[in-house]
Parts: sequence; C-alpha cells; structure tokens
Amino acid sequence: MNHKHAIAAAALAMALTTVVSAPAEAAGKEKCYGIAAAGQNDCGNLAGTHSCAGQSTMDKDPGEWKLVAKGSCESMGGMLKAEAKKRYEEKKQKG
Amino acid sequence: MTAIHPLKQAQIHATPVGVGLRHEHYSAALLPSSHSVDFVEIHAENFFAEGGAASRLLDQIAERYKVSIHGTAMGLGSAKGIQPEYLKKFTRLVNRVNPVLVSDHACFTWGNIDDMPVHAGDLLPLKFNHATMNVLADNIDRVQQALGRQLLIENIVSYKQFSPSDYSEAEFLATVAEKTQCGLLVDLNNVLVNYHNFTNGNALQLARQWLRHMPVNAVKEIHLAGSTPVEPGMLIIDDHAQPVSDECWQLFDDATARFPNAATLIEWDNDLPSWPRLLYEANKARCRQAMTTELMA
Amino acid sequence: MSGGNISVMDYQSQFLNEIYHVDSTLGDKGLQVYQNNLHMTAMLSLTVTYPVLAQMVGEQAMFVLSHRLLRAELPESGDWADWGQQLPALIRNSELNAEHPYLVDIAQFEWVFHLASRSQFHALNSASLQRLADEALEQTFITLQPSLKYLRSSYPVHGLWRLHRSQTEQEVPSRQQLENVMNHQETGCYVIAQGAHNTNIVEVYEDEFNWLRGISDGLSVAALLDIFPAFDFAAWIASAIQRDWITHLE
Repeated sequence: MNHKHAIAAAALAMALTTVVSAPAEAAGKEKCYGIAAAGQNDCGNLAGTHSCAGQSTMDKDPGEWKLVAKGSCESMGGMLKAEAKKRYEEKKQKG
Repeated sequence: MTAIHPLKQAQIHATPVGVGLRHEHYSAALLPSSHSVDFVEIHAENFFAEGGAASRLLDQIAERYKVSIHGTAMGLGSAKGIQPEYLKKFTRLVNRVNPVLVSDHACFTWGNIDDMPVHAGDLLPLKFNHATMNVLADNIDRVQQALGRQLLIENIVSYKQFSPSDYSEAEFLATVAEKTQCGLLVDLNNVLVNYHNFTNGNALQLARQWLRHMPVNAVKEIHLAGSTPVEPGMLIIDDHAQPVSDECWQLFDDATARFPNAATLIEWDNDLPSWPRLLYEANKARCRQAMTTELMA
Repeated sequence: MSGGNISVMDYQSQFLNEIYHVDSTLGDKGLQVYQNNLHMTAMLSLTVTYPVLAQMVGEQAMFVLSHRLLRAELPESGDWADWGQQLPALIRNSELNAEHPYLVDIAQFEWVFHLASRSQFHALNSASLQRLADEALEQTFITLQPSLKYLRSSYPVHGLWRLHRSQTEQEVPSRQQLENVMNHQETGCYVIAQGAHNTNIVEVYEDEFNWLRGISDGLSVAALLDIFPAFDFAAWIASAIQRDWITHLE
C-alpha cells in the first residue's frame, strides 16, 4: 500500500464516520425549509404600477433615465472612497 | 311550488370554490388553524424549479389542499409553437401534483425578434380568424396529448382592438372547445373589462350575452377578480388588485345558473388582502352560488 | 407551415417587436399598457432574483437596470426566474461600476445563489465511498453536487449579502453595520451549493478552492493527491459530506 492509498484509506474512515453520525434520514422530515422566493410569474397586470417606480425624476424618454444608486450604496460609496477602497484595490491587485 | 324536477335536482349541488395561492399567503395557508377552501390554484411557472424551497413547499400545499395548476406563459395561440423545454417542465409539474384542473390562456406568448426566440412575459391577444384557430387548436391538441388530460382555456383581457374577423371572441372559444375537446375557463372580470375598455354599451348586458355563446358543458371553471377603477377614457388594467366588483358578482349569478359544472376561483395577485380576507371572498362566492341554486329550484 | 400560419406568425412577431422596441410614449395607449407591464414585470422579477442588489441600489436604479436588461437579454423560457443572467455584465459596463465596483460581485454572487437555490439536491451515495479502498485511485473521481458553484471576490460579498438578507425589504442597513462588514476580512473564495435543507454558502481558503477546482476539472483522486500533497484529504471529505457537497465517487 503506497502513501496515496494510506491517505485514501484514512479519508474513507473519516467519511464513513461522518456518514454514520449525520442524521440524514431523520433530517428529511425536519421543517427547516429555507424561504421560498416570491413567485415571479403572475397573471395580474402590473402596467398600472408604473408610476411608483417612475417618480418625478424619471423622464418619459427611457434614454434619459439616469442610473443613480440609492439604498445602502449611498453609505457604501462613501466608505469605499476612503480607507476601504484603498484596501480592496490593493487586495485586488494582489489577488 | 311544484316538486323539483329530477334533472334539475341533479344539477343543484355545490361546486368547488377556490382561491389563488400566492407567495404572501404560503405560511398562513399552511397554518393548522387556517380555514379550508375547496382548492387552491397555483401558477405553474412559479414551481418549475427542480429543487429548493418552492418545490418543498409545493409538497406541503398538495398534502393539505386540492390543487389547480394555472399556466401564465404557455401561449397556446403562438404560431411559433410552445417551446419543448417549457412543455417538459409543465408536464413534469402536472404529473407530480396530479391537479384537479389544468388551465392556461387563449393568447400568444412566443415569437421571434430579429430571428431570436423571445417570450412576451405577458398574455398577448389573438386575432380571431381561421388561421389562428388552426394554430390554437394544434397547440391545444399537442399539450393535451403531452399531459394526457383535458386543458382549460381562459379568455383574456386585450388592450388592443382588432377589426371584426371570422369569429367573435365567444365564438372563437366555443369553436376551439368543440374542435379540441378542451374545457373552458371563463374569466368574468376579463369579459367585463374588455367591454368597458372598448364599447360604450352596458358592459354587464353585453357580458351576459357573451356567456350565452359558451357551450354549457365545456365550461369547467370560472375566474373572479377585481380591477382598480380608472378615470373615464383610461384603459382598465386587469391588475387583480381589488375585491370582486358588484357588477362582476351579478355576472357570476348568471354564470352559476348557466354552468353547473364549473368550479369557481377568486384570483387576487397584487395588493393582496390577508389570507382570511381572501377566504371570505371565496365564501361570498359560495353564498351567492347557494342563493342562485335556491332560486333555480 | 401553411400560408395561414405564416401570416399569424408575422402578426405575432411584429406585435412582440412593437412591445420590445417601439417608443409608444406618444402613441397607442394599448401598446403602452403592454410595454409598462413588461417593464414592471421585469423589474419585479429582477428584484426577486437580486434582492440584495435591489436593496443596495434602490428602486429607481432597478427600474433603469431592468429596462436596459430587457434590451440586452430577451426573456425566452416562459419563466421569469430564468431571466437576468446578463445583469452582472450589464452593471460592469454601466456608470455604476466606477462609484460602486462591488456591485458586479454582489450581482454575480446573487445569480449563483439564485441558480443553486432552484436546483435539485442529490443525496450522497455512501456505498460509493468504498471506492477509496480500491487500488485504482487513478480511476476514482469525486462527483460534486451538480449545483455547486464557486466564485471569488475582493469585496466582503458574503457579509454584505447576509446583512442585507437579514433586513426586511424596505430597511436599509445602518452605516455602522455596513462598516463592520467592510472591515471584516473574508477569504475571498465562496462555494454555493444546494443542500438537503438549505442552499449553503461556505467561505473557503485558497487551497480548498483550488482543490475543488481540481475536482471540477475532472482530476482523479490520485491526481489531486499528487498536485495538492499538503491538502488534508481526510478532514476535507468529512466536512464536504457534512456540507452536502458530494453526491458519489465513481
């Protein structure tokens, strides 16, 4: 038995221990289901909801719509401009 | 009052009343304390995923309720045909759930843009002519064969008006039902919305006439929904965001009397009320049904 | 196809083309309804597929992004959940990328999670583990969950993802919470796969990342052990089984 086979045998032993200890079948009945994402396909027509997203800043011409990030990007952008951005750029170059 | 005619008596039985089951109501509907409902209708494509939370949820739903599967994307009137991959997923879902009803719309969804295949993501109106009839009937045949069961076809709202063609909408649906032996799903609100949007006449009167064209035994399901009111001159959008209107309830009374085999479904997709409020809407349908059958007796 | 079908096809394709490409702002009210519905449905769908991105950029940006994406990627499957793969590339080429370079990685992370969360889970065939006792390690291969995907990022995408997913849709995390995440070092290597009960996200180190790539590239157990002599195979296989990553050996 060479070195690789010894490693494989050890791995098998570990794997079998794990399989035995994992309560795989029992867990199948558990109600630990994660969250179902909202359905993306519906019959209700959304044409009338246009104005909610449109807001007054939205021009009628799609070509004029500006892409401005609000939400948490407002804080994130500020943070990146300072320390963090430098750090991540350095890291990126290394990576 | 004379004795009830035996045939009429046979017709007087409560037909199932269900509600559309949407994401927002999954947990409320699965609570042990939830009141029951005769069936729930799900949108097929929302359960196309092969695994994950939605798929597990479906098992729980099907354990608790009878399920009707309603497609929103099959586009049975598409000249391009229904994409095989879509039909495969649809068939797999139907086989898995064994639903009480299976339905989709008399519309088209598939086509080409610059020779690239595209799906409309919407229910687009058909021209009611012979050529379209052939396309629709062929596609329905194919789907019914793939599923090995009857499909119900629903009338849609159209925001586009066509010049009169070979058939009226009602004749078109009646003909395709006869040709293919498919069933019909009559959406009462859609009939009303179309008349409100494109005629000046009394929409309720016109809708009642529309119903008279429907082959009685082919109508297996009725959809009830409400649309947000609009200013005069604007198109009513079929947003399924409101309780069923009085006008639509009145039309429902006619439909109940006419189509004794039809199940009823409350469709509510946007600005959803609470689950109990939705079930209340279903109970309302049940009560009106009972009153109509009592009158008929 | 009969002549009748061609005329039906023509009308239908032309109508689709009008909805997707014609400017209706001054014209047909009906066409506007179809265009608005398409756009709003696309936006809603994108927000479901990319919930964290939506919280980060806000509703208005999602409105514009979905409009642009409809031009770049036509829906074609009939299930809106399949649409949106091109969004990371679209963001990379947008004006957002200069100010918010992490958004591309967030979007990529969310797309991978979206795909994995919809995939089928395959349970481990534990009998197949016996192949490790076999002589022929050159012919022994590890098969991973088909849904397993890995990705890299220079930004703490896992922390950002978790933080935003723990908020309700309308809430935006506080500056302090964001700062905490930004200052927390992540390994930069992520593995996402469908599990028995949940879709699992695991941060791994470089060596494990490379090992997994080796498996995906089709290396045998013998080859893996040759290339990564320092890698603790035994410890890894135990944790990989616990993470539901392995379906069988062959």
